Amino acid sequence: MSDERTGPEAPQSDHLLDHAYDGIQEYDNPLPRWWLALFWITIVFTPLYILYFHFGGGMLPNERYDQEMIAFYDRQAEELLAMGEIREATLAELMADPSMMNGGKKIFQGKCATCHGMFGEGGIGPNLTDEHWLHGPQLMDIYRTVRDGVTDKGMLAWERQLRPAELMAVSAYAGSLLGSQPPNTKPPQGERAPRAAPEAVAPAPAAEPEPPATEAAPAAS
Amino acid sequence: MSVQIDRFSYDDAIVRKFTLMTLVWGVVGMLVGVLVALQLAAPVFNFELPFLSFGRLRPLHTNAVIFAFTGNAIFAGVYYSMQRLLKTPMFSKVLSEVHFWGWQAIIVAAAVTLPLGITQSKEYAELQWPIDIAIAVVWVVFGVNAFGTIARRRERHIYVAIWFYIATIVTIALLHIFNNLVVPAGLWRSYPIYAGVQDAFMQWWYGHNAVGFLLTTPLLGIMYYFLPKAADRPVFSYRLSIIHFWSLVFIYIWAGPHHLHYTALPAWASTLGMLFSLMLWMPSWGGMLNGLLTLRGAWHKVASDPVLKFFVVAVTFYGMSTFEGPLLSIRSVNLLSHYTDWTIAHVHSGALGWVGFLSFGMIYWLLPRLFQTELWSRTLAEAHFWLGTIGILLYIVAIYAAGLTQGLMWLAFDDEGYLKYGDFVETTLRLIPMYWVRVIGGTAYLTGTLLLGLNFFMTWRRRPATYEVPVHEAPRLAAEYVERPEPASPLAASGAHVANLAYKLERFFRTTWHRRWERLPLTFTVAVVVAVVVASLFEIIPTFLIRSNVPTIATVTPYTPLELAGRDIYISEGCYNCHSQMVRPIRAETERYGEYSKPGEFVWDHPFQWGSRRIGPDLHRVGGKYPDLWHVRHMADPRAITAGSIMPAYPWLLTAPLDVDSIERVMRAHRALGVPYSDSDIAGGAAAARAQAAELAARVVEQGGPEGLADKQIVALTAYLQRLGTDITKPEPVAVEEEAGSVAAPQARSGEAGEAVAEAGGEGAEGAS
Repeated sequence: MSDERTGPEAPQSDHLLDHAYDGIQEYDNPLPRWWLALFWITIVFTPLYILYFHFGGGMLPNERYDQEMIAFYDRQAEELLAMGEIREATLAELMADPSMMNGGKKIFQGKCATCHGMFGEGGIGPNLTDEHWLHGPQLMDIYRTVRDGVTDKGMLAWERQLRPAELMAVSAYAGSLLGSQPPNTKPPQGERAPRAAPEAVAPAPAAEPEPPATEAAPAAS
Repeated sequence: MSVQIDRFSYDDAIVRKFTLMTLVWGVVGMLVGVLVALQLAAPVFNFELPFLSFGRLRPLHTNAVIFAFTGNAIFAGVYYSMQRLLKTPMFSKVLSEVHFWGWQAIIVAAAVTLPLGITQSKEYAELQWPIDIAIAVVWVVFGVNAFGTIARRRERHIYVAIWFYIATIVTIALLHIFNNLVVPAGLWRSYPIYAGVQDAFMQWWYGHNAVGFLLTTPLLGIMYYFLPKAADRPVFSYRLSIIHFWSLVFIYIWAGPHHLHYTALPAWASTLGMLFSLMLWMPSWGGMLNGLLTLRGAWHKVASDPVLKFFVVAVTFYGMSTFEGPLLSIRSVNLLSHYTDWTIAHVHSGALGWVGFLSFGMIYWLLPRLFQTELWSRTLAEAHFWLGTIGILLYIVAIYAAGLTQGLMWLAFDDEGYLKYGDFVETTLRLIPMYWVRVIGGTAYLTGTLLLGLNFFMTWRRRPATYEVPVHEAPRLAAEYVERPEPASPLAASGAHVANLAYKLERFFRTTWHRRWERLPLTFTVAVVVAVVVASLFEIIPTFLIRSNVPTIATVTPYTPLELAGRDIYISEGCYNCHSQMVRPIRAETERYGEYSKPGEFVWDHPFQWGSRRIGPDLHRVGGKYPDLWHVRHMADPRAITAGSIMPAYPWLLTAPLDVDSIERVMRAHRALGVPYSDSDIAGGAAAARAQAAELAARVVEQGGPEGLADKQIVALTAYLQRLGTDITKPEPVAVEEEAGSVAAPQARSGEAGEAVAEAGGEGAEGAS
């Protein structure tokens, strides 16, 4: 914009109109062409957009979301089937898998720590490091509590927020805290019950986990 | 025919007053801005004091800079330019004074009530109904004064600046009135007549057009007067003025729904909002072009004149923001930008760049003329300019970066298709350094304004003992006037044989017809009103009348009395300033927060609480997510629960007594709005609230929390939070026949809410799950 008289809008006419307001005069310059062209383009674009998105093949946000969710649930159902039946031994095996434990720890610190403390020492929720249990000492008990929640006590049902593998990882991680002795533990709650070895537990996975696909898909409608 | 020559002089005393208050309130508003910026960088600056907490101060900041700083700047500019453009003093000195003092009283009332938590919770319309009425009255006073002045003009045609002033006056009146229709429940409490989706629609019709008609049109008017004056150049194009004025006024109104993309607002409205925003791009740039191209041949002056420097930067920022606005309105861009700091950066490039710098330029131009002496220091004005510019750049660069960071982090999925940053606070912690840069930028900008203050004061000290009041002369307008014939159409001159329609179109687009309108201000005003109202009704009528816009959900029932009380606390503390209650239908959000929000969930929400910004996470599905005790501890000390949280602590909620006695009044106001509370519901409101509070307090104790909370505000707020978003997962009510004698008035929105009603009332709705 250094030399204004060479640009495309340089005053071809620069014809001054014969009026003035408090000394302010006005030129009668035409509208810049690019300006007018862009204005027309935005105007013409409008009906085309409406036709495509509201009466044609374009997907509005809700439709796009439904499709995305269906694809996601399909994948999750496959993942769940591939994992097979979940039992005490499955979870105990996870406890030996460092990468699963790292993942479990991350989830625990992100989701569970606000109530159970960073190290499971308890807080709003019960202490997870002592031998006292409100809902049973076994890994499967923990898994079920995490999955289904204890809503009247404030424990969430995490099934809808965590994917199956995450549920298992975090349950196994929580189970691994038993016997660790973090500072500031909450006083024991519930019955004292030692945990039995996986082999000693009858393989009875009650309440077969439903594939979330069937449960959550309608909610997406 | 003898022409009578009138002698008259202009009232500059009123301009001096408005100019002074522009500066005073500018400093106040920006100071509060710096404080809230600090609070976001380090929550300790909330001081754990109710009246200094972010949720209450943020509205104070926005209201102060919009209505106090910009408002006074506009009035100063309008009062100065209008008299001169119309060759007449203002219509009434008394009205000018009433306008000035009334407006300042309103600002003081705002500055007192907002920190006290007295708010309607609608952004930029937070002030409660008594103040709203005062605003309406003062605005009408301004309107009468302005139109009276136009009526007494000695200039046949009205200049483009006046067009913009007219559009401002009538549109702001409409917006203000229709967005603030409320049913009061006491002097400092009220509930809007709209609920949920409709309330959100009205609010953003207002919010968007407040930007349009308070922060754009009057300032364009001011630009059209002061910029050519300062540059001493003719305006670039009269025709461009006409086209961009009318297209701006007509198109602006439609664009409001772009604030509500991906929400429960019907898709058609969101589509219109986006498309009209795109169409608004060129009309907005028309103003920018007429500003910048007017400087052709005067660019050498820009180098030496601080006034023009301010104007050039202001107009450039205007162009930038009005390009960015349409960009942000594109749905897929909005997906990334909405609820993030991007919006904050956008409005600040507009507010600090366009509004602020245009006002500063105007004030520097006015100072020597108002005080009839030289500006005290041009060097200081230059320093102000550079400090301000650096301040803006620091602010917006940091906050654009923050917005993008936040938006991308929220949407990020890992390789396996799960949220990469599942913890909201991770996305907050990343922003803190940028928030500190903002504090620095804001402080620089504020310091610049203080330099203006010093310059203002020193210039004022050099004023003459008495101001000279020049007397002007102008002929009075004759009753009769014959418009000059329109110039011949080139189409006709070319002798082409085309349909008559072509001639008409040609005449329309050449805008020569417009000259006639400019001497008929009444016709002109009516045309503006028609443009604005027609555009509004096109969107408002379907939003309110088409039932399918808000499909009824049978399990969504009115709030219990305690939840209502909690909702009032939520509103009063300004929670909506940081938390949305609107989960968008994208997987990144439903993964994080839960099922996306449905229009039918908000039918009892007077006012809606969707929010516009997520400084903290969305709360629409927070109900039942945590135990009651979590909320109690979290309110008392958020950082004890979430390390790194920047939420203010609200310890007073655990000690402040809950006002149970006003619950019945609140319920009665809601019933007047169509919420089906029965007489017995209302009579038993306080008792039901106490019962639910006792239950909740007992649960808190059971979970290991403190005792004695049953009569404290925290239980009501917790009850409300635990209720949020839970209704859609409740079991469908078993077809209870319409025995519900408690239906007070059938709802317009959900006429067949019979089933829903059966669940309503005292014990019926169990809040926390």
